[in-house]
This record gives sequence, C-alpha cells and structure tokens, in this order.
Amino acid sequence: MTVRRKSSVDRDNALCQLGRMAATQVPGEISRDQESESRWRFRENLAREAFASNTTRWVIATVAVAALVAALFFGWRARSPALITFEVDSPAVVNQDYLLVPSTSPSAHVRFSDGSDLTLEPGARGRVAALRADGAAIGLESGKASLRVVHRPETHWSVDAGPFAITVTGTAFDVGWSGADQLFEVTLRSGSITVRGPLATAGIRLTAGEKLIVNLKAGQLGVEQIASAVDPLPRAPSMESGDLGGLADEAPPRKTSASPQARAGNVSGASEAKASWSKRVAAGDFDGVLADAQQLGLDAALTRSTLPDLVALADAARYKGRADVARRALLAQRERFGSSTAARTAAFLLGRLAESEPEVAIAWYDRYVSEAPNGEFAAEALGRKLVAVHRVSGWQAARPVADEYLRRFPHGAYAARARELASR
Amino acid sequence: MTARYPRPTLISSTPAEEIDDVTLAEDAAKGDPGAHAAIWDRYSPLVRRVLVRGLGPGSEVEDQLQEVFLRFYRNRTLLRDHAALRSFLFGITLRVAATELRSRRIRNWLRLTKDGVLDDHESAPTDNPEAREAVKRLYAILDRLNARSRLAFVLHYVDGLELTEVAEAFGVSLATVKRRLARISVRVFASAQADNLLVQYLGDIGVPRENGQRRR
Repeated sequence: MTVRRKSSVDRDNALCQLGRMAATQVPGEISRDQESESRWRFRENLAREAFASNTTRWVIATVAVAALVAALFFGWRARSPALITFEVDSPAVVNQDYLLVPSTSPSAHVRFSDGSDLTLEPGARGRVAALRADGAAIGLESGKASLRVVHRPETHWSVDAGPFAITVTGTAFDVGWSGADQLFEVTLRSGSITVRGPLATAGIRLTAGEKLIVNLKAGQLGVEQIASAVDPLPRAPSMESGDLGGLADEAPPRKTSASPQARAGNVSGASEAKASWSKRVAAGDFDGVLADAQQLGLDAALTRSTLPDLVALADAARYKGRADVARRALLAQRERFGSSTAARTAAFLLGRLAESEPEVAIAWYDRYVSEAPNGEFAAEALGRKLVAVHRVSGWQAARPVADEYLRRFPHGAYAARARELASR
Repeated sequence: MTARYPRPTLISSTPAEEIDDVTLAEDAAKGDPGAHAAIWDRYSPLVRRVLVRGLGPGSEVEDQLQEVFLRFYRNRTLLRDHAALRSFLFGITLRVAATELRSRRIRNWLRLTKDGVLDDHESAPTDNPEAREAVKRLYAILDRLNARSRLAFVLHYVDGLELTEVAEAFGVSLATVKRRLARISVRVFASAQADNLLVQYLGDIGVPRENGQRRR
C-alpha cells in the first residue's frame, strides 16, 4: 500500500473542509425573541455596571457583606429592585447629553423595560432625567412628545415640560412645550394626570379626553374636551389579552389628529395630514405604522385597508419582529387580493415567517412556486424548501428538490448545496 | 432607589450602520451606554457564534456572552487603537471562552466521568444526524487539546478567520500563530483521519491509496 504524503497545504485544505461542515452544523444563531431578551439583559447589566462604577468599592463590599450576613441570619437573600432601563429605537446613536430628533427625521421612540414608551416627534428635544425602580423622570425641553405609561400599583412617573410638571401613575398622553411661544399643551388620552406650573400652581387634574392649553404670554389657561375617553388604561402585560399582545387594547402612543372624527369612515391608514403607510415604512417609521394600525384596531385595518397599506403593515411588522401581526397582514393580502402579485409574494413571506416550523414553511414555498414559477422569489423559495426538506427528512428526501433546483437555477445561491445533496 | 442616568442618547439622521468602529470605540471609551449598546448590536452575533463554536455545539453561552461585553465596558479604556475594536472584542471572547473551558474540565474531573470527555449536549432534533455525529466526534478530538489550541483551531478552521486575525485575537505574532496551528493541525488531522466518519469529510486527502488506487 502506498500512502500519499500529505503536504501541509493539503492537510490545511482538508481541515478547512471539515471546519466548514462543522460551521454549518453549529451556526450559533438564536431566535429573534431570544436575541431581544439577551439584548435587554445586557442593557440592564450595563445600567447596573454604570451605577456601581460611581460608588467606591469599599462601600459596595461593606453593603454586600452586611447583606450576606443578614441573608444568612434571617434566611433570605436581600435583593434590590432593578432600575428601569430604556433603549432608543432610532436609526442612530451619537454621544450627546439629551434626546434630539432633527425636524427632518422620523419620530423617535424610547422603550422602557417596564413596557412604557415615549415618542418624540421631529424637532423635539428632551432627556431621560432619572431612572427609578418604579418609574422615570422625563424632561421635555422643546417640541412634542407622547408618553404611554404602563399602569402598575406602585408606578410613579414624572414629566417636566418647560416650567410645567406632570405626575403620572399609569396613563397615555401627548405633551408639547414651546419656549419661544411660551405655550404648553397636554392631551390626555387615558388615565389621569395632575399638572402643576405657572397659572396652575395648585395643580390641575385632567381626565381622559381632556386637553389643557396654557399660554403664558397671554396669561391664559383652558381645559377643553376633545373626545370621550378613547382607550382603556394600558396595563401591565399580565392583565392584557388580544391578538396584538396588548396593542389592541392600549392607548395609541401618537398624538391624535386635529379632527377627533378622523377615525370614522374609510380606514385607509393614510390620513390627510400624514404620508401613506408605504411612504412611512420606506422612511423607517415602522413603529408609527404599527401604532396607527393599533389605533384603528387591527381587525378593522386588515379588513378595510388598501393593498399597499396591507403590504406596508406586513413589512413594518416583520421588521419589528411582530410575526403575529405580519402573518395576519400577509394572510389578509391573500384573502382579499388573491390575484395580485403581492398576494403571491405573501406566500413566500409566510414561508419565511414559518421557518421554525419547517413543514409549514415547505407548504408555503410550494404554494409560491406553484403560483409564481417565474416570480421574483422562485429561486429563493425553492432553495429554502431544499434546506427545510433536508433538515426535516434528510438528504434522500431532499435529493429530488436538489435536482429540480439545479435544473431550474444551476447558478443560484443554493446551487452548491444542491449539488452536494444531488451527488450523494 | 433613584439613579441619575448618566448619558441619554442623541438621535440623529445618521444610520447606525454608517458609524464606524473608531467612532463607536471612542464613545465607548467615554462610557457612553449608547455606544456600548451599539457595539452589542454590531458584534454580539459574531461573539455568540465564536463562543458556541469554541465551547462546542449545544453549549449555553448566554452568560459568557454577557460577560464579554461587560468586560469590554469595564476595560474600555485599555483599547488604545480604536480601529482594533473587533480584535479587542475577539481577545476578550477568547479569554472568557478559555476560562469556561478550564472550568468545565475541572467540573468534569470532579464528576469523575469515564473517559474525561465533556458532556454530550442535546442537539436540535432536525439536524442531519450523520453530520451531527461527525461534529460530535470532531469536538471530542478538540476536547483533548488545551483551551488556547482548541480555540485557535476553531477560529481559523471553523470560523474561517485569517491567520492575521487569529494572531491579533490572541495577541501574538503571525509567526507564532502559524507555528502553533501547524502543530495543532497535524494532531487534529491525524485523529480525524483515524475516525471512519470524519475521514469522509476530509475529502480525497484523507484517504490513503492502496496500490495506486484510492481506497473506498
């Protein structure tokens, strides 16, 4: 027997081949939910780390030792409540001291770890002035913002807008302050708040559907009724139900339009004052489109929106990881506009959404390829079907799919994989 | 309990993906939580991948992943060359992975397993069984290497990093990495060649010829 001498290059190539196989088997990927959870955990860890680094080490050690002794003595472990954290859902992060949304940018959204969220409209300036375990303090320097606070028994939030202070325990409202005009407005959509400040030093309590306007220059203050209470108080997730995971029953985070009757009639999603959902999704306003759909009511949005709006809603939901909303929007496209190109594309996208359930995904890819054999995503659908069949049923079942793929798309993205399977 | 949040975030119209590593590293060095969050977004998938592949399939790496980025936060001022953010993170990742591998060996020794190999972790049920078995055998071979050798092998042959990147990650010279990987590759190749399943994944190179004909 002659044993071929292995050059180091040969050996290296062989090990690279072995390594590539290992890499495909160990992709190191996780689901979007797991990714989101991991991200939240890091934000919380980072917030604690930042807080701890401002305290001298011997104080921490002393407190820790005392807590440990107390825990051992009393049989329980002392635990400090976690501070609320937040993340900014925006296109960019730059090192500055406050929140600033340029007037040419879409609205910015700040999500808090307790489920509350803050929307800053273009041109707004503000800051998260303090974080607590039971709430936060928001400062609105200028412009307009919407705050939605999730109600919990011990929730305490505050908003300072110019010289005005708002205390909240669980509510949704829009607030605006213009230093140039000395004009303050707050529109309460749910819950109740108390506003204190110039011309309101004793505090003015507002209930849902009321709008407070204070014109400091004119020395005028007024409360007007804009509508009946529009939405129930947003509550902590454990008390919510509904298809939107809570969105369906929560107050909308965005400022209501000037006309309280804007919600009646055709729910095309494109109000007179706003760009269409398609344009807004193209501009990156995914949260805004989802919020609008929630404001309309998802069932109404799905049954009465135009096709472009349904497509935009599905795109926004997919981008934001709202697979439940995306799925319903895609199914609505197929049900209501079955003969359209968008409806056929929806089949492919439904397959993508279902990839954690390979059999379901395969069925959708089959449907897409059947309905649109020369469609934009035909190669991708067949390739992904190949991967799914291989995963579920092994290489022998995948071989016919590989043969078909090579026949139709010999230079496609999955051609190498198809050849490898077909050659077994 | 109340905390003054130190550095709220400026939102501008610049997409996050257009902010380079140097800018992020500079901001991170100042302790800006927004920059650290952006670095997490940019690099956590890569770090997770390196950890999973370094520690072995089925490994739970969430704690180690958090540790990597928290260590970066704590040691952010040690990064002198802000353009080397990726390598710096790799370095931390390798140290965290090596620590975990050593801890596993000790835990394993204390459990007095029969053959000293690490526990077989549950794999996803839809995996290709043959390939999964091959990967299991490969990692059994890697288990016999020390932590640094194992991680060097994984970085280069599984993660596909260039030798220069491996050298940067370990903080050694290119010549040192080449020398070490040469020794490691001989050892791993010999073990893989001796395994009747792994040899199939080595291509033609893995198969000795018999009387001039390739053995099947």
